[in-house]
Amino acid sequence: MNKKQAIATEIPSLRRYALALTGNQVDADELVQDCLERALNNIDKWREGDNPRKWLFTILHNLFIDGKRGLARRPMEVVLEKADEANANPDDATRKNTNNIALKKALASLSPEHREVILLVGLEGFSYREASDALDIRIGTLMSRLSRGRERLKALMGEEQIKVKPTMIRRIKCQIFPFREMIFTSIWMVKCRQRIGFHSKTGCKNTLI
Amino acid sequence: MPPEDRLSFEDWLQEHPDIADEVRSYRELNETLHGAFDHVLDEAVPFDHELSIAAHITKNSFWGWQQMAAGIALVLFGSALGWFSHDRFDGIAANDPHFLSQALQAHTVYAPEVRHPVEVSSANKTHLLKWLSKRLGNKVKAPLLTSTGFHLVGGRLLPGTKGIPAAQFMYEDQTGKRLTFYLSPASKKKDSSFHFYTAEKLSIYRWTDKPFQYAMVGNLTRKELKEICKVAYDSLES
Repeated sequence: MNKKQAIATEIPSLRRYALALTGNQVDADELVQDCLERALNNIDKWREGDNPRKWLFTILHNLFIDGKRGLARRPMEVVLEKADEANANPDDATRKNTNNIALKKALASLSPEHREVILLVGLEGFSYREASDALDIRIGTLMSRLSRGRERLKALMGEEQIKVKPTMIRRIKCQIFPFREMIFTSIWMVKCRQRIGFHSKTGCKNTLI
Repeated sequence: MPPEDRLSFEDWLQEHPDIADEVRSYRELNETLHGAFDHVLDEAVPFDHELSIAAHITKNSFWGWQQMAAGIALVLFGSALGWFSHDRFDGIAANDPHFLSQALQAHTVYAPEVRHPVEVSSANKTHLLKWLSKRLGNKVKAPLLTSTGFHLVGGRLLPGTKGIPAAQFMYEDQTGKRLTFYLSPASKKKDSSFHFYTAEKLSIYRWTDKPFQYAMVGNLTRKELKEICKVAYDSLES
């Protein structure tokens, strides 16, 4: 398998990640396209045999943060589409639909930093080490962002699920509220102690939950 | 996590129900994420992406395919989005993944054609437009490009995405240089700005202006083609 094919096999994952990150397919596909363009221009810098995954996600991350469209700097535009409606049995479909809508809206309310770590680890299956390399942050930072981000996401989803009506499919824009950050920081500080206990007992510092 | 560690981790969790709850909720969260976004993995990769890879592969390894590849369209990664200063344009790319490839294929197949470059010639322009409008379901216009030196040769009906008809107009200048103008019904709701692509020696501008999406294809420089697209756009608007 040559380098380009290796890149090509990562495209579906890149698109999935980009969609979750940006909330809509148009931004996502532009981001992935820019990423591939940059990857191909810099293909010599990538050594054959290395896993292209981390390298490509690093490029995507950089474009997301600094890209010409500044996606990370503006409110996320979530487009809820047909894919959000499951076609299993109606009850199940409604529930799944409501869940997905709540998830997407909650993701949009998270800060880009939290969204990135949650999605890299939770959706793309990156190890803590790989994710911290790709995002160019220390592993401790990654872990704290991850646990804070997850708590926030869950809380936001809880809020959203109450608000979301099953039939509600439309464009929404979500703003990030800074005060949430403060509330969750305090929750996180309490949680942190338990986590340290866990790591020192098992010695598993780089685990995937 | 290696299987050994996983086992001891699960054991450890049993002794710590509060953490186990947390872990369970994280796992549920991950499943929810997969449930919401995994459908993307099964989608066909949009044309632009596939090409950017395919272009490099083709250039490097399959020499025999070069000619055909020119037709099937290469090198779309230089897709610097050429904006024009039109307020009505929204900057959102039309998302029909096969549209560009079809426009390019139609150009490569018909532009070199000597005897039958078009199905209906410009001598029967009224009939041509009426017929294409009927088949495409909306009023079709052939832009007037005479100010740029190109005149209409004629047009033809073509198969587009999912069997929806598309149309191609061909233009020629005094030196015999040809341009093709490809259009098909727009699948996306939004209009888009002009997007520039190159495929081997061909330049393409593509835009969406409801109810159609358009592609102007020719062996011209970007600047030349841009001027022509401006004229085409104004002509379609008038």
